[in-house]
Amino acid sequence: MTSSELTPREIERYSRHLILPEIGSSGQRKLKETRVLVVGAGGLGSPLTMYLAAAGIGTLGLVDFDQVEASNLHRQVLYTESDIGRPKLTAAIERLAGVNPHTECVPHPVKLDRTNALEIIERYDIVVDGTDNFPTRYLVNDACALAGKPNVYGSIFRFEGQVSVFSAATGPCYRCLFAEPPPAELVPSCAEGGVLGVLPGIIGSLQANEVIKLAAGIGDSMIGRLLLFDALRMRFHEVKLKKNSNCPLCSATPSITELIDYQQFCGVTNEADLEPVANVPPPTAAKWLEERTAGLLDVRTKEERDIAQIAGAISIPIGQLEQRLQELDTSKRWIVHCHKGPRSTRATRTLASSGFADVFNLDGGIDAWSQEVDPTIARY
Amino acid sequence: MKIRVNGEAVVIAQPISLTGLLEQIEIDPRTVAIELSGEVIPRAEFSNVQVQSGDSVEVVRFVQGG
Repeated sequence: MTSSELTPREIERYSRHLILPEIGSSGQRKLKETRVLVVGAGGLGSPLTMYLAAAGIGTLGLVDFDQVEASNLHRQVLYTESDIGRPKLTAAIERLAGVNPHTECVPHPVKLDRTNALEIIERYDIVVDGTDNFPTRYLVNDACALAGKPNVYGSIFRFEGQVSVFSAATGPCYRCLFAEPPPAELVPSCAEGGVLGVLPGIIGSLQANEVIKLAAGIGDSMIGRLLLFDALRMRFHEVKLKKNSNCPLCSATPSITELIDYQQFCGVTNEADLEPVANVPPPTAAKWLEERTAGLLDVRTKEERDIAQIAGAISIPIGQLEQRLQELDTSKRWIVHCHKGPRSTRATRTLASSGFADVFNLDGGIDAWSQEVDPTIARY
Repeated sequence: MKIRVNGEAVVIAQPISLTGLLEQIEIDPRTVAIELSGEVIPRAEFSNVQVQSGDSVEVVRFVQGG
């Protein structure tokens, strides 16, 4: 018996697949032989890994280095309340072992980067992009194109989702459509802009469907097609994609022949590398506010202010800051805050370059304020 | 005159650049990729490329979340 033959227990488990003419025993054995790498064990990774394991994919690799947070649980159904604070991969692998003990789950608890991506991806047949940032999306795309692996793409934001299969060998890649990334500050992440909890369930399930079709060799894949989904209007729209003859990666004359620095390419500065004009720790900021030696500027959105706010703050969302600077007294000392620091750090620079001489970033934002000054302020 | 944007009818007063079209539908040109009649248009060309009556434009937002 070869390793891909189905045991009696597997036959029982997969019987509803086995009686499908399109899958049958041979298709199910193909699923068992297939090695799938899911990059990102978050919103998309949750339905993806659970459905792929349940479907009988033989080897399932997972890449993630985060820990489970309470704010993950409204959409990341792979995890439960008791997983908060645990490494995602530890929790995921336990859960997936229960979903299907016949699937071998391989943890890759690393941040995928140019130094490790090809080595990891080469061990798999199909790669699934469930990441949450542009640098990693370009990295996954490029590594898949260079390694000759199909990249089952999905992305989500607020109420919108996208799905495609990028396969540079036979069709367009991510760069054929998205040749150059957007300016980093213009496209918010789900952490900044929010996301409907069920949306990754829908998009991740569509990605799982594409993986299963590729693995079993059935149906029409989404190679050369991009699906746009609008959950509010309940509307699907399909865009035809073709290989871009000017693609820097997968055209006949590529300019990209190895992995590059994706943070730099996307103009993304790591949070730790962002330099505010000056930082002030929350307890010191609280003292200044009490002494009325500084004003407090909140650059978060209205929705975030509805969740939690520090009394006395002036609200100007970061997107309006440049137009509304005249509302602020340039001669005064200002403390700027957002949720955790990146937006207020950018805001301190805007203020400093506009004639404000005495500007501080509230270190760690309202989240740190809640932990260090006023625990009655909700964390989100 | 009528064009189609992501499959839906949009009325424009006269032939308009992609930049002008995005302004009309209130989308920042730096946050999307555009396909016009099946061809991806580089961002640097948005202001030079004209949309005519009957054209079909696909506007695809950059979405990073997962």
